[in-house]
Amino acid sequence: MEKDRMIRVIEIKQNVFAKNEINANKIREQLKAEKTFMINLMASPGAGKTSVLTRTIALLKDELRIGVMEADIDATVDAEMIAAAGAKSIQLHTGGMCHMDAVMTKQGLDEIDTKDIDLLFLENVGNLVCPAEFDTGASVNVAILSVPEGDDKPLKYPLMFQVSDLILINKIDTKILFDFDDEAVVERIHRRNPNAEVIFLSAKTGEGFEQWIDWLRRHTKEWNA
Amino acid sequence: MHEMGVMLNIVDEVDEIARQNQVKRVCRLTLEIGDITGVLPEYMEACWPAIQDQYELFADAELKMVPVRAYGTCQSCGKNFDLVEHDGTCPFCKASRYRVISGDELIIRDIAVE
Repeated sequence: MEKDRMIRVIEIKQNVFAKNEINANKIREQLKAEKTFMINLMASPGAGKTSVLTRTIALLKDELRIGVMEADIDATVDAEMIAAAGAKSIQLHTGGMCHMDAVMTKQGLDEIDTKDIDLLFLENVGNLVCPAEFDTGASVNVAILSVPEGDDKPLKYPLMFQVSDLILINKIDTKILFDFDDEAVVERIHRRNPNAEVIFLSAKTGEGFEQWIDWLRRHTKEWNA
Repeated sequence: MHEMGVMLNIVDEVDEIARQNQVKRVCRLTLEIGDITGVLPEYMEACWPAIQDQYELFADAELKMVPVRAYGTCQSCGKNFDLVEHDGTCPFCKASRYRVISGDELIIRDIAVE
């Protein structure tokens, strides 16, 4: 830099991630006030987020008003499937971003209008890494791990399992084809997060869904009280 | 992997501050990047030319990144240790549960302006 130019330094000292935290907490306050229980649903591509949602909607739509915000990089495939299942759905395109954050979630909330929704799902971008790092303002985080992916994933993707309150182990109908150790996966999840609940189910056959639906009923009622 | 998204957030914040301070051009943007934020300085650096191209405010700006060491307090024995050096395991008592003291923050420290 040239010596005769006057340079001054403006201190900013702003924590980028803290800003997201603040925005996320504001969203939670709004959700509580509007009595909408929001779940941030995360998993790898193909683990079964949309399949679990379509079966869930079919089972609960007569009891609860359900909404889904689909986050994908492109396409409207998921939102269409959800709408066909009978829930209010909107498609969010992340513009190439690999995860959703609080600001993006707020835009979705404004669009879907939460006032007439009891249970809202944010189906996050298919990714076991990035979504875990950004608080979306959801009431709880739920992760889906499928049997074909392997029981070692909680070791390889610790943050995802650390930030999730509930982990659904999906595709239990395929156990016969894979070496998947149920006890080991639960132990590994609890190493990362001793308080995480684990439910084994199959979106394809419906096995194990009772426990999951029960969990949803309980938590939605508690939040919206 | 999401450095571009993070960079765009930072740029929006700084843009707002520049406006408030009637600043037209930034000479240098300084960031403090914690060792365990999952944000890679090399990828932030790689995004910079695109930012310079798109924002006149940063057209001639230098990007400076200061690393912040990650330290944690062991929840078993209470001692502090470098989280990256010891891979999250306390070198004193070998426990692997800790509270993060530093290293998980990404801070926009300051801008040098004309």
